[in-house]
Amino acid sequence: MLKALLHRKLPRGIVDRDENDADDPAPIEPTRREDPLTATVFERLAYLPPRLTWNILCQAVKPLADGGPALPPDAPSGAPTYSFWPSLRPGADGGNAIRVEPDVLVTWGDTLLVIEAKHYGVQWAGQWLEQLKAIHAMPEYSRKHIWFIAAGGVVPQEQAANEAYVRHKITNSLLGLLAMRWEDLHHAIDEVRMPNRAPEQLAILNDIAAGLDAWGYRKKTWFSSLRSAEPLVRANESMNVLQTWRVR
Amino acid sequence: MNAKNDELKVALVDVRRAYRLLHAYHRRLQDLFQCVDDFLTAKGISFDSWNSINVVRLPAKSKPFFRNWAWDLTPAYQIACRWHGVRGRLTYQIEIEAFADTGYEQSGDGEPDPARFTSAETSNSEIRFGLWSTTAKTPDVGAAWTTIEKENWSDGNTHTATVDGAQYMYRYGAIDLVDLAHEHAVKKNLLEPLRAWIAGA
Repeated sequence: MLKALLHRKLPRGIVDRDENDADDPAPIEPTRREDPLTATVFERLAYLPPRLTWNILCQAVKPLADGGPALPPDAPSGAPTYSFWPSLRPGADGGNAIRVEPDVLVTWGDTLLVIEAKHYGVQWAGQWLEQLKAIHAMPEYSRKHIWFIAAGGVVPQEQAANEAYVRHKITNSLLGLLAMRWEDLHHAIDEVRMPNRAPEQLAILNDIAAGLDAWGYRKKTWFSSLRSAEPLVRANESMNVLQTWRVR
Repeated sequence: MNAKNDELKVALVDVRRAYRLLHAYHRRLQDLFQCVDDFLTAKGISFDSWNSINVVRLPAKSKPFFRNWAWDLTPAYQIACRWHGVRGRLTYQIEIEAFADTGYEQSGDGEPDPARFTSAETSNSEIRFGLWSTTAKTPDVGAAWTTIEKENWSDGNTHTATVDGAQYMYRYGAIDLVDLAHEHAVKKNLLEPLRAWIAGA
């Protein structure tokens, strides 16, 4: 699927029209959607050796607020289990009447990662709270160390306020709030994308990087490096030749 | 004939290299615009639209493109991008244009001829910005522009106009791409003026 997308083989109609834009009947490009991005990235992280995935996440995430707890360097024991868009019952006092749906849950030993992904949209602490309340209502997660990862869409100047809001509403010493920029994930992937890595791992890492590129989270290239392109042979003379070249 | 073919062969090497160089230019231009977009989005000002300035539109699929100007095949030669946002009591419109070549001149009725442009060496590649803010709830910058365009609007100062009781502020700037070579320069020379404008400085 990712390769079909990267090679522009997917019909535009594969995804819905923008329900917020009634004037535009055109289907939305997959790369404007956050769910295909979530799948592209986290499906593949699930294929990597768990320790490598943990190392990548450790590099990519930062505490939401200054001085907040950071992801520990050692991976939890055991193998992680990923569930995508799990449908959870709302927690006590939850605002959602029917279901709550985090983007990804990763159950991993004594740890639970809760991932809320954004692309174009911005993170919203009220949504985090709904998800955390739903998770707190589930006995199987009651003793887990919960790390909430806001992936993409984090507004830097709102991070401290969002952290304070969630901490005020939920008193749980086993809760850590983290932010992850997609560009930082790309950087973390690049750091481990070495030629001497096992081919099957390299293929997965290359796919994640290509996916992030496709969604626009590529490493920026500055004009200072433009001169590295090959110089023209003799541009002015070539222009004169082409100016006089006519097929009729 | 052979000598002419040899000349053409070399010229076509230059064409291929020029396309590769153009790709490198476009890559960096897109990254520059993405940098601006990230910055403005974080300020609550979102991307609105873009268009090519020197190309009216890419020829439709069913139209023979080869009957149009060759410039229509170079839509990124001059591009414009617009962002919109409301902060407090002001509505902002940020316009940023990229001119690959200030030597482009449209003289006469025909297709502009690069052979008659100002030399590439004495021309610039530049980013131009037009910053609007207004107290109007439904801005009409076109109406405000009819007042401001009569002033020395490109002098870098803030110009004001009043339309239907609402106040409009406008500032123009141009930056040589040479002065946006790296991240620090982009922050200092492009993002800082945007930040100051949004902050009301």
